[in-house]
Amino acid sequence: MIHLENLSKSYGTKKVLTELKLAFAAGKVHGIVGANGAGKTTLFRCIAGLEKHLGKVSADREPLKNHLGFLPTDPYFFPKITGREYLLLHANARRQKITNLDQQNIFDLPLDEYAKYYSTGMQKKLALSAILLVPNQYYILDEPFNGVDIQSNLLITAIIKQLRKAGKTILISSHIFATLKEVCDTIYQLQDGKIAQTVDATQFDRLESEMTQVTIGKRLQQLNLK
Amino acid sequence: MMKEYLRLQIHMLHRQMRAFGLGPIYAYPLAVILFLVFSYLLFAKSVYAPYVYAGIGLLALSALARKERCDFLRICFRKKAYLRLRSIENLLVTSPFVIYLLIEGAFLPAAFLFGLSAGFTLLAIPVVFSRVLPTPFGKQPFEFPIGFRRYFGAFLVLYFVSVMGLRVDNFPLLAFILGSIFALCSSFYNWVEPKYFVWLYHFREKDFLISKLRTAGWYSSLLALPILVACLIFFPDKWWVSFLITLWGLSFLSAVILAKYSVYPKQASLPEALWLTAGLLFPPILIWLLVYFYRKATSNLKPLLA
Repeated sequence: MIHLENLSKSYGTKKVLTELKLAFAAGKVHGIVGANGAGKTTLFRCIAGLEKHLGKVSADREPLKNHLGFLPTDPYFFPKITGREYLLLHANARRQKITNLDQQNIFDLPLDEYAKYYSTGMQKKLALSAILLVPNQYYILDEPFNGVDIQSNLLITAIIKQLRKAGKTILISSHIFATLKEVCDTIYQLQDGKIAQTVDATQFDRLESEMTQVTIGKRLQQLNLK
Repeated sequence: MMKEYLRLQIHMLHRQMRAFGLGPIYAYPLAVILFLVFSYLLFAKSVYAPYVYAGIGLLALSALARKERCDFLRICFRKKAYLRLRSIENLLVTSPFVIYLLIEGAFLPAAFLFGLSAGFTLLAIPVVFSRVLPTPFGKQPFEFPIGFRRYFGAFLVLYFVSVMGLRVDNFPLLAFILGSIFALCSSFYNWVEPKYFVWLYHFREKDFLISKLRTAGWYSSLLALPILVACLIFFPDKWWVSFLITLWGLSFLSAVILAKYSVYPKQASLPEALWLTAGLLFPPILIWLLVYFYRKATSNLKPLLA
């Protein structure tokens, strides 16, 4: 369980998150949706402890960061570091002894090549593999499906379901609504730094059609496409 | 548009100067003075100075000719403007070197460098997808595997020069190379990694710093070991000098690491650079610096690692 109490974050005078009060239960997948700039990534970074913020973030296992696997939107890859070394870096940082990396290479990544030159999808899969190598209670997956192929998409979906079954708390953001509908138990719509609505599985279709209507609206006509 | 681009580059340069803690009004004269002092010393001390100079100019030209960068400029500008821009950049970068070479009467290297700056206008050097260079440091990423691969050529040159030094019984040269190995390893820590890669650690700040220092100590010693062993075997009477240089190297490297994390996630700037230079020139200061930077680094890292 992760609790947010009056979580607020500003960059200078710009308010990004405003007094969020949320509880993310264990054994559930919590989806966060919102337009670009709505504050999803900032929210995740605040929960992880990567950003200073007002309000409180607490969890049943403290310190939260030591039980958290965090997949950033755009994972950073050092130049001249192989996939294997990237995974080792994560394992070492978490004091985890890894005996057989090749066996755990479920995405069949070329681990002995420089990770910097992987494709976007392969980089995402490597970053995901890194956080799955180490046992965690909480997972934050920021855009885990970005750039990955259809086979990996299916595999990531299955992994998320497996984590839920194991009682983990999972927070996920994605711009692919269909995938969110498939894996999430609850979806939170973040708008202007506040939770605009919280919906459960029975209302996912309504939320999707609402968002489609708001997002598309009359914009296509503005383009005057012929 | 080209004028705008150049203006933007100047803005960025000024911003970097300010981030380093020096306003442009001080940074420009300081850069000129440092350049002149460096050039004067180089030409006064070495007969190979013109070639070293041409080499430095060549490195600067190569940095500007990176394919990724050139492709971006090609997208932004028409061909004629692109070529004009590239030649202006190349001339700006090489002109101080060319002028100084001319002052020193080294006409051939000056002409060579000038010719290169024109030739590089047409070049775009692609990133080499070379085979992964194996390193003995793969178990503890990331600084040493990256640094070793990046400066592999420099290490080869240092080892080669040390063999030359041994052949002519030149202990000062070997001692200089021993120190250079540690200085080169210190440069692996110049770059500031994203916050995520510190946050990731399940360590308390003290353990985090100790693990960084231990890795740096072991791995830099491994790189310096061949030179140290050569010094001890071929110049046994100077064993204490070899050990003092090794100790200085390890202390300096540790001070660089601690200085980096004392201001992390910011880049170490002028105050840290000045202290480290003082430690470089007067080694006893390093003892105080190690304590000072260690205290600062532990309190600075606490919010991120706690």
